Amino acid sequence: MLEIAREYWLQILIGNFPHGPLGGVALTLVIAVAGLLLAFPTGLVLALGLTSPWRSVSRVTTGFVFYMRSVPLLMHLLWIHYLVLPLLVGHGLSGLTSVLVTLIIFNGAYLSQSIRAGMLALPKGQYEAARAMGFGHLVSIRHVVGPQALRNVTPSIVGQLVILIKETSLGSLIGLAETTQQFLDLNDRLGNKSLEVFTLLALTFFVMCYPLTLAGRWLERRYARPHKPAAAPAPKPALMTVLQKEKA
Amino acid sequence: MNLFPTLSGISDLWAQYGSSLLDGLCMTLQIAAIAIVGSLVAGVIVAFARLSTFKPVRAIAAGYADFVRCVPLLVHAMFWYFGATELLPDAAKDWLYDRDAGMILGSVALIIYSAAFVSEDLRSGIRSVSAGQTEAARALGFSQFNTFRLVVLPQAVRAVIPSLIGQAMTITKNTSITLMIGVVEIINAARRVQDTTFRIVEPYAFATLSYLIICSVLTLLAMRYERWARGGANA
Repeated sequence: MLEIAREYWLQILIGNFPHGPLGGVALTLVIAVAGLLLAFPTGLVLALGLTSPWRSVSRVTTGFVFYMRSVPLLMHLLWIHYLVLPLLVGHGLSGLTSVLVTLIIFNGAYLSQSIRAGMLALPKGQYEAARAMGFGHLVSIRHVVGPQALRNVTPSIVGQLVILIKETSLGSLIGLAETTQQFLDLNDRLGNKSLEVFTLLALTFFVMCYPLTLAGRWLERRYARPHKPAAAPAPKPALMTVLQKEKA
Repeated sequence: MNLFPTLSGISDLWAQYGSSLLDGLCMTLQIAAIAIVGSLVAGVIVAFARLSTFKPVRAIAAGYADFVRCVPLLVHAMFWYFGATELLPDAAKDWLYDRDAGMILGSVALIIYSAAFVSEDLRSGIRSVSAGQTEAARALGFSQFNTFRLVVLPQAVRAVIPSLIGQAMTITKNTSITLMIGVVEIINAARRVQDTTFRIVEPYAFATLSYLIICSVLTLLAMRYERWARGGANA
């Protein structure tokens, strides 16, 4: 197993990079980070839809999120790769685009539910007070409910990154040259070394994800404790700054 | 060729490929049932190991859960299907390949993967029962075993059932991974129809609707249970 690692470490890390597209661990990490960064705004928009005072908007969003969560990621990937994207742009796109788009929408739907939960966990008075002060729905969310709700969600972001790294492995279904695909190629090339190859694959993912898992736990512990007492005075400055802005 | 389905097109397709799609659905349900039961059993064992008072047992169980959760399910499936079979004696290999090796090893991977998540839910369910409950029961003279059986367990089960239904949903969706090791479950069956007929919408819609129906039923079940549990607590 060590020999395989010593021999092929460059291919595992970056694929055929200088001579071809980026692959391997680097591609996995790039897709996971980019996916998370773009899934977050998607989740915010969907969370706004879920909590919208307009019945029709909240119903449609709820249905969409339920659909995303009820169907496996693989199925979404196939729909998007073979139907949705080709219909939208007129021709088939690379596996990279399909995987990225799928991960963004899929994780956006999951994030939207935790953001919504963070919003609902706040005392109702926060929103009502903001409305009573004369702020509109969106302004109240933007300046009063949102900042507090996002604080609750922040520590789970690292955990979400781990999930994305793991989900990227599905890209090998449509030929994306990410980590799993590199090891599948390696397995074909080396013939009868499957046990070593796939043990090394599992270890590669462990090395990527375990430090992040530990970091996520540390963040959660750090954020969880001081949060409760801090929650009560927090809205005050937010409201005050908004008021001062309105005056100016 | 027209991308969008027509009524007559659907009925033609159904006449020809309906049974293979239904076979795929059966395979999905079969693997899901095996994996749900298996990971519940394994999850209970791991959960108790993680709550053990004996430190090495606790450490091994925690290490297992951490490692398994850091590796994608797809990699688990590949490891068992491509890698671990190398270790098996020839007789066991023959036995495996006489049957559906992908289905059996896919279920094994799914059980090992899901048990880590189930054990986490069970553990937090047991820990959600306040320590005062245990102390009160012990003070009233219950043995440790009876305290657990009569006081902690009923409350923990109640707390944990909704998240277990959620796990059942996740496991059912995760069975789709087995298509990567050649199992003809519902999505693979749909892809085969796609490969032979070049139709996309109809076979995919069948697979998607199947999942939507399964998940709706489980969601309704969870909602029912929660309403029932709340009603029970009020009465």
